[in-house]
Amino acid sequence: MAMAVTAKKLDVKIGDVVEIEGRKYDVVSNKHGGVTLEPAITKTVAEIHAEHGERQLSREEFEELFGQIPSDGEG
Amino acid sequence: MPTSGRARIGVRISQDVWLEEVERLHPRSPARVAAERERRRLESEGLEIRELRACSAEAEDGTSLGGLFKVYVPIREASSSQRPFAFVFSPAGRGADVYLRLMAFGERHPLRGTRSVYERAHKRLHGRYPDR
Repeated sequence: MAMAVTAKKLDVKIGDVVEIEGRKYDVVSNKHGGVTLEPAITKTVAEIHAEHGERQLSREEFEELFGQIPSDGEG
Repeated sequence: MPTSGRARIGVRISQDVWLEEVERLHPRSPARVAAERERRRLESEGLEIRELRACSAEAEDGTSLGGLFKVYVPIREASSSQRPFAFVFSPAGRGADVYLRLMAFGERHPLRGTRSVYERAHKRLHGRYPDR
């Protein structure tokens, strides 16, 4: 027997952030033509550093500390 | 090896980033348990620089994470295939202090439909996922 369900229509698109019961979610592609919700990422790297009063490293600092760290090409 | 001769680097973790990256996961999920197990040591001892790997500016999965660094989790001497998760960090400075700040955590190779830690880091860095 079919169950009667009244769907709530959401006026959202990919890239929007929605809040459900106090938690934020990103509206993202499900890679199959539809959308899905994922726990939101609300701040960028630059915003996080700025919040903490942090500065970018100089090229010299970066090279001295991290210049020789290898990459494995994975991501 | 790093030319600075420095063996370790400090790690800073913002509670709001921890909430979005780790506490989004089920409390008993292997990923969350693994991350929580590492947190205290990360914050108190930092990381050995030799444990870090540079993220790729142009990876095969479409992510672009130049300037960021990662460590596989669990953090231990083991092959990468035995460490399914990763923390991704961004270097920062404050005064003379230089350290890494946590930016993303998650599975390296999740099942289809779930974002990898690299895709999450890409969104943190660029403000959008790589397939958008």
